[in-house]
Amino acid sequence: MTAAVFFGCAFIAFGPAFSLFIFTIAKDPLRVIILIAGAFFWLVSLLLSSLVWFIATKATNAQDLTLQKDLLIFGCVFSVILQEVFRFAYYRLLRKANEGLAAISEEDGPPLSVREMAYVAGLGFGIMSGAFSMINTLSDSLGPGTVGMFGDSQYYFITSALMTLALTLLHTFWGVVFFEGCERRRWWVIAVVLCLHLMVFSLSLLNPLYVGSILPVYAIMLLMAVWAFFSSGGSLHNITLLWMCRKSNTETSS
Amino acid sequence: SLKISRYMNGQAPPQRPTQVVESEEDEDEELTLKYGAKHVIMLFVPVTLCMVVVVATIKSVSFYTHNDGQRLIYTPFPEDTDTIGQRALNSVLNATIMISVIIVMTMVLVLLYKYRCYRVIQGWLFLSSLLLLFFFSFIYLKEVFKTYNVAMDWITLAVIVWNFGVVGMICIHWKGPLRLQQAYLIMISALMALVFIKYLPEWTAWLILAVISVYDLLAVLCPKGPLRILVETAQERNEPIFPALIYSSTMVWLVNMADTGLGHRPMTRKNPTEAPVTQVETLSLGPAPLSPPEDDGGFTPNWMGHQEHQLGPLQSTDETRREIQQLPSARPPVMDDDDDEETNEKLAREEASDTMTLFSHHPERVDSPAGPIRVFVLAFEPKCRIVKALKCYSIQNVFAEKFQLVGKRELKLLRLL
Repeated sequence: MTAAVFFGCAFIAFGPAFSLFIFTIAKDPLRVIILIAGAFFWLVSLLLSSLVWFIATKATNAQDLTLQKDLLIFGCVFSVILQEVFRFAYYRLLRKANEGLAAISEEDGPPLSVREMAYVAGLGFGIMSGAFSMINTLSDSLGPGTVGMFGDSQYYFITSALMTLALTLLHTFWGVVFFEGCERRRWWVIAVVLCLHLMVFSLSLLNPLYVGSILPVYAIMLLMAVWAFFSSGGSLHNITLLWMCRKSNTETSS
Repeated sequence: SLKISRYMNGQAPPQRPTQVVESEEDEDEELTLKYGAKHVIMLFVPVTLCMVVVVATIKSVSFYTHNDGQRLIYTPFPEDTDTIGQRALNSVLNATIMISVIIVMTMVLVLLYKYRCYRVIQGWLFLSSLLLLFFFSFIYLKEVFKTYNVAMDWITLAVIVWNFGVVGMICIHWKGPLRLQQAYLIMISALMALVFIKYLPEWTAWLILAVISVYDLLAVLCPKGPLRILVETAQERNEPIFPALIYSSTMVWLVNMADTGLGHRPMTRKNPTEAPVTQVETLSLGPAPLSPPEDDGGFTPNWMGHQEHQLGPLQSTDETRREIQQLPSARPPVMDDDDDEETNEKLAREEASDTMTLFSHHPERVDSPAGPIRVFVLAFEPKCRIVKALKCYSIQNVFAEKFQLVGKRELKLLRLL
């Protein structure tokens, strides 16, 4: 049973991200590099914010549980803000790199469009975020144990996997929307993304009331999917063409 | 190919307009970038595989995470101390000792390589890969069997370990399919990593990881770094770096083109005082080459001796080179095509016209070995139209029948004259 839970949760959490990687990113080495660099940026933001939290917890009384929980919430809010800051920093880095690449490329224009980079960077953030959320849980799910032995919920593993999946896809969509907002100089987009991220985090605090956390998070994810689709140049026309299985010259894939 | 022709006849490169130089540099830079990105990715795969193997082993086989209390001699300071400060100090000392050992051994290796003690290096590498492939893999198998409670008799185990080890030695130190060689290198890296995980205490391991990354960067990128010296010396001597030391993503073969049998292979020559012709630079191919690297393309020693006997000195000496350099070159005006891909051809064309000028001034040189060697080199450029031009010029048939030419990434057979 533990092996089944392990594989099931692993595929739920990482399946879509992995298939996105295989089908859209693995072929092009430049995209792979941008993905890995994006993951690294997320990792650095997590490291810095966890340092802050660590210092805060070590400096205070470890026995006071409510204080520790408050410190955790503070640490997570700080982490969310820092993640968005690093997303912006990555955007600036990619813009600079893109100009350099365009200058020495033999084709006209840059080798990767900003939309492609937005998608890849978002996916990089999402994969690393998912990995850090889920790996320890997966590792524990292999070993001997009973879930919810002390009265906790029995659905811990599967809800963690679902939450991880939602977060991975959310990071991808946020990446697309964020970069597009920065390109068009619509700064309110950044504020909205930050607020949504904070909202998702605060919803996750409602655990183990999973109805209250998973369903709204998935609703937000669907909304973000629609927003990202329209932001990256999709339209109802494209969708109807897709359904009619017709190809059009004007249809561009981001 | 341009560099090759310069190697061969020692002639100074023709004066190029600066625009040509810049576009060639840009092209080089762009090619380096694309080449670099692809090869960076090609290195992700083996590193990821190695990590996956190590993590899977650590999770399942508990032997590698149990601390027996045994330590390596390189890390003598224990880490189960009373205070954190003492532990930190011990780990720093351990890491220092380990890094010094690594630096000293690298220097020894570079010195051995510089003073051409190839046998010592080969013996060293042979012994270490022998140890890894037989002893460590035997221990690994034993522990895996213990973990999964598999009963195995000694005879089967001996056969398995023997086969694994011998095929590994052959693949790494001699020849073998590329994928198998890569797989073996990944496996011995994983085995080494497992040994370190078992015997290095925690803080020491993390510290060594950080310090060795920094040291690696310094050793490879600094001009005086030992690894950089090693690579540069190997390139100067046109030799491949020892196979057990590197993981190659494509096959690297030495193809000796207009090699008159000189270079690092000892040959008996009639005039040992003459300066040897430098070897053609090595090139790397994509798919597997068609001939073994010792193929000298038909220029066997007997044949060379016969030619020397008939036609006189084979190599271009300093005098001949000086003569050629002082010749006035009636170069045809360079055509004004701004196509960057034609740059090499333009320059090759200039070289060819120099050759034709030389031949027109000294017709007896057509038969001399300096002639065919230079023509040989110019015909290297796969898209070059010079070959046809020189064919018309009807150089005597001092070539072997067929050669393997290596273009940018393809293997071509060319029959010359």
